[in-house]
Amino acid sequence: MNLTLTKTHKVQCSWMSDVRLVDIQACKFKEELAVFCLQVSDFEQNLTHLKKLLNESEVLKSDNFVMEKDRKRFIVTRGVLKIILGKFLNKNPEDIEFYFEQHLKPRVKTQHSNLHFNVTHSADRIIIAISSKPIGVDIEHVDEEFGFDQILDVTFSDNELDYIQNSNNKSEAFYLLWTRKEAFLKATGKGIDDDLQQIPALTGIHELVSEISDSETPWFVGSFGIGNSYIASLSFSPELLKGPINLYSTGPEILMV
Amino acid sequence: MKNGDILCLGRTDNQVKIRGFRIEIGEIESSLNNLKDVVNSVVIAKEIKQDDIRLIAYVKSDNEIEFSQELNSVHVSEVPSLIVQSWKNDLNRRLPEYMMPSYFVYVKDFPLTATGKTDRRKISEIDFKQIDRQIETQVSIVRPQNRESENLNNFQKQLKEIWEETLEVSELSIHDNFFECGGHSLTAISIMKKIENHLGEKIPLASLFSHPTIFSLADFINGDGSSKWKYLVPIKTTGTKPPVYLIHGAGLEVLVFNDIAMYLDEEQPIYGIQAMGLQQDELPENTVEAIAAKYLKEVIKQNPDGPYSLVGFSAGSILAYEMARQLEMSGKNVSMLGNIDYPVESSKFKLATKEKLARLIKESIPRQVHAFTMMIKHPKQALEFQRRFLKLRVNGILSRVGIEQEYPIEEGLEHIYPLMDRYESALNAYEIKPYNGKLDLFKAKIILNYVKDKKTLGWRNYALKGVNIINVEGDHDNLIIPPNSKSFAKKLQSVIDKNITQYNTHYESNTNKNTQSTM
Repeated sequence: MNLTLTKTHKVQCSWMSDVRLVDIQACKFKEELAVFCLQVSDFEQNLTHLKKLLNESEVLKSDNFVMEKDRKRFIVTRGVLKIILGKFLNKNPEDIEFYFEQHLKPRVKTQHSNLHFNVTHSADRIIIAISSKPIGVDIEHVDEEFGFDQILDVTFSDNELDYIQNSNNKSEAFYLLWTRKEAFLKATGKGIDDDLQQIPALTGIHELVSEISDSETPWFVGSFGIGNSYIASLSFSPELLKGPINLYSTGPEILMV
Repeated sequence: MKNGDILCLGRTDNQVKIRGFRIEIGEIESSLNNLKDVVNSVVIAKEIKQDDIRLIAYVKSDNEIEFSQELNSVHVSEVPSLIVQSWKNDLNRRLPEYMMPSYFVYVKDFPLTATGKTDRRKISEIDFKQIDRQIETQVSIVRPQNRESENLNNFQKQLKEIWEETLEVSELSIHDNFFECGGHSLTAISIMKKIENHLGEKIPLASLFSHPTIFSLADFINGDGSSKWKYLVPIKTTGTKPPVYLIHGAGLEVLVFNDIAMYLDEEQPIYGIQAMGLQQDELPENTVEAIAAKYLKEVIKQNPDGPYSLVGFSAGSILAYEMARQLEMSGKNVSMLGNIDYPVESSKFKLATKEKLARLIKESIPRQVHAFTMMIKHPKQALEFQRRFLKLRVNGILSRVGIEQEYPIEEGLEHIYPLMDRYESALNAYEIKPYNGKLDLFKAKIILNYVKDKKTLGWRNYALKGVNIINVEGDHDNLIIPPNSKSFAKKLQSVIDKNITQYNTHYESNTNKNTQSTM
């Protein structure tokens, strides 16, 4: 990391207490920031329908998954994503197409260049975040079995390691910081790489040299729990933080809305 | 043609979409054209079976190629896998994985349209499945019908174990995409951390994203030999047989093995071991024991379980001998200790003199000394260089045998001299101790006069389980280069194989006494 650069931008990491679960019916699909939360298993009966929304190469991709659970998860994620993007863009889900930005961040092909989305999944849960500005989201199932000790040193700074080691629940602390880093990297579009230790994650305001993300825009990285065993973080522009964050929890009813 | 204006006005077929990725054909072609032995190229996206679109690179090269086949009136030929491998290593730096061609075909001349443009249509109509052997094996590599039939090298096997353990999947193919096996960034870090622990070296995290299959990742890590190994030079990493390690001689480098490497079995993986100080600025250890230990550290890292087939070239036979001793003492299995025409008498350690090296180099590479030293630093390119060099040597040097000519040694070689001094003094100080094994001695038919024990060159006193003599064509200086390289390689391969068979028989009879009675 070249620390001689003086351009900095602020990154604020915190818990979000004002995340509220809202019925999907209340969604206008015009929001500047909307977060959708679903469970793969809810869509067991809708896979055939959802698969029909995929284009040839997406079908091919779904067939390439080695494990059935990944195939189902992909079909649900991509299918529902297309439905939601279709609603935002007034298009048929089948007509939604994607392209890849630098670092292979997927974007939707549209004239409205200000429609951003980001998707994450872990175990049975999927989160789809849609925004008028760049956004990143990450969810992790708090898995006590996962040997995260192994990767602590490559992932976290000394302060972060201290925080994890001194936490009552080390796995929760690990996943909290992890999802923050991941969400931030996904928002900036840089993707995961060897700078992981430098990515801010501890609760508080961090000054960041602008080499990590190209712009000087500030970022907000907010975390919340889903159910008893999932932690998620969202990374977005603080401008969008105008009130409570709406979390639209939806099952197959999204197909009907 | 009269106005000369035949500029290509843009094509409709130069942008295709494969698996959702937009592919710029032109970008692939220009990357290919940048490869040093490629003259021109045409890349075609072709549906090889339903819903399976692949990129096929048709390449006109200045390599010497035999065109035995004509399809759609175009002369075509397989691109050998070693060349494909080296191209891919190069292309990997310029192209994302999804733009990497799946198949590479040599073309003698591209067909032209009536207006003099490259006739892409005609090329795209070539039924490339009919192109001989190599293409077929590539097809089976890309889409193995039966996963159990995959031939994995050791490193691929180790990666596969790490992937399966971390992704909690069994029976992965080495061509399965990480992200299609349920992999995500957290598992990515886990996997890279485990690989790092395994290799004792950090691999950039992003490399898993740009090389998301076991095959491509192994290739990437191995191909990037400059950072991974200091002494081990992967000459050929593919093949089902246990690898053979060829230890450098007085010249310190392993380019000398490329002639014989070409003629070893297709299933034979080959690693060269080059001297300390070549890859990295370091002073060689001052004892043979310590040098051997350094080499072994990398060998064992690459191949933790053995068996080990070691072959020393000339003075390198002493290093191989000490390596075999150390392996044997630590309980590892040495299946073969080969010695290429080197006597045990200490007077012979003087072989590695500056004058000798200077003479060798002067005789073999008149105008390319500079290129030669560059190759020592960049062994990856050695193969290509060696191929050209071979041509040069056959055409030029052999016809000049006996003619003394003076060529100035370029300054670039000077850094080797201190290394040679260290090796020479280490070899001179080495007190040879008995080795509890057998030694295979490849003995030049033309024997140098000053050897006392003409039969085993003194080795019968040290190799406690005997010395097996293999007589080979030529004298000490030319026994592994043309015209002797081919016959030498044949003999070497048969000795390697025989030893492996013996090792297996021994191993199996120790574990199951009822089998292998016919061997």
